[in-house]
Amino acid sequence: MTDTPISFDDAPAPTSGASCSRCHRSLSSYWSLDGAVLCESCAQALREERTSGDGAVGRVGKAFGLGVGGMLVGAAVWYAVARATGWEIGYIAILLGWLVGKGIHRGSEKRGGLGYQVMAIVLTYLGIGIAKVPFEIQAQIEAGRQSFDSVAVAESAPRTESEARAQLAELDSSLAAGKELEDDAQGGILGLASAFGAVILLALMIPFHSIIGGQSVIGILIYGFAIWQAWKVAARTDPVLSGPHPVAGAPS
Amino acid sequence: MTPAVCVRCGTSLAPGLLRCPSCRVLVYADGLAKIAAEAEQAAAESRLADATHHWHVALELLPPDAPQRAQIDAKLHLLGERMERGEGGRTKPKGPSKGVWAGIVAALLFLVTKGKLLLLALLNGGAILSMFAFLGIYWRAWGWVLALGILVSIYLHELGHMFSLMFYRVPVSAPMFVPGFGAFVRHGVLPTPRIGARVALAGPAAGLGAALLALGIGKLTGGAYWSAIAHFGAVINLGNLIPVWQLDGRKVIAPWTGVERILFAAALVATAAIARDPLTTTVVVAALVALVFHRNGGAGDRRGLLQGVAVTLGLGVVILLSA
Repeated sequence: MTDTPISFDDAPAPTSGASCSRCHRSLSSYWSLDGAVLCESCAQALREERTSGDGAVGRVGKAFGLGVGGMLVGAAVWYAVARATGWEIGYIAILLGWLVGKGIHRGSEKRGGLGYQVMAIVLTYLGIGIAKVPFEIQAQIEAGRQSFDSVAVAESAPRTESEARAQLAELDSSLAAGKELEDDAQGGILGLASAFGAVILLALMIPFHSIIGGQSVIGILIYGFAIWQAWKVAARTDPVLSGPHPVAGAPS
Repeated sequence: MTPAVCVRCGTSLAPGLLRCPSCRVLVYADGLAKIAAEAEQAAAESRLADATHHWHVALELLPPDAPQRAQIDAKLHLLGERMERGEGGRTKPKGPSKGVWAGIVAALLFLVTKGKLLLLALLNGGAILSMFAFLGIYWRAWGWVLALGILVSIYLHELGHMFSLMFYRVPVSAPMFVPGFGAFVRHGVLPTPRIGARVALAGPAAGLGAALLALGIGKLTGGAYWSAIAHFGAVINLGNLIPVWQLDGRKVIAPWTGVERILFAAALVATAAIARDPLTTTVVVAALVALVFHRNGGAGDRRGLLQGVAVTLGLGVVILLSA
């Protein structure tokens, strides 16, 4: 059987004539929307559903919500893997970008577009930063501890009062940077809002700091891929409509 | 481009339609017949990769419910069997069949035939540029010694894919390196999921070989650098077996039945237990999660499963010994 030539000359249907795939009405001419054969009214109705500006606020809100959800999941995975292994793995950045882009695209009712793509870029960038915030806080606390230790070791050496004051000021600054979030969180709702704002600010700064500081070209590439992925997934998807196409032999 | 009107009934055809909405005949029936003839001709001449390509083009011109799809799948299955038997593939070395001279001739022929494979990537400008960019970026991050070791490790992985594709006479590009992610090769379409699995597994298998080589040198010389290369190579090759996205693991498991996938999951767990390494455990967890989303099993490939399990467990042993 497998050596038999394949025939592509299918027999024509016994009853010719096109019908709408939505309302099943017989057609003398048809419209095509993304490959579906439709009557004019069904085609226009579907097109209207997918391009109308009605409900835009709701779509933007839903896209933002789902995008934030994707961002938090992706950031959590990034943090968990980095914490467990000590590695920043590029593929997880792509996952984060994909989750953000997919959430936004779904929230936009699969419309996508430039505005949604900008939202995807911002949330992806923020997601990468949020994943790194715990490490940054820990680094600040460690820096503070090391400053304290170096001050303790240097205490036995003779030094001027101004040097001592300068070292203590540096110690205060390092410890304050790391402890500020913890203190704010203990200060009630206002404290929580302040802590949240600080986290967002830190999350926005960390990747930028890495890029400007030129600390890691690989890190820059990873951010780039993540953002590109989010941009691609949140892109506009326009319905393709064509017609009317006359059906041969059908009464007009 | 879609024809303007149906050649059978004269109905105007919308762009992208594969079947006339009125008389239901295939829009590209005439073109499909020509493509099928070309595919049969290529198969008769043992140009199996060309035949595979033609049949895949035909599939793109058929609607999802066309009965001809099953017939084409059967043709591709036959082509796959012929490729696995090596038809239209390897050139057998000529020369004396026994003795020392036979060994010398065989070695020389190996260098002339397979040896050129090692240099294939260097003949492609884009591949060279990507390779140097990759080396430069990792050199800056980790020093030239480790960067070069990683580059060679990844290159040998890609050579595994390339060697496998060349065995099946499927066109393949030189490897392109992407810093932060690895490398990839582009190749022609493959006739069956089983051949796709063979090609996909060839990369991690070659990577295992490279890691074993580095491990052996490390044990002999006592050099920590070699152990680090072995460890890194084994981990990234294991990571490649996660069945998601474009990673090799997705194609490796494609022909396996549900039971075979469960057995592979058990092998992954065993690998994590052997390696006793946080990154390995993370990779195994990711692979197990991804396996859950691949519930639709294939026709089965016991040999491929055994090879996959062997490679996976081997990588775990290398990770353990290179820690």
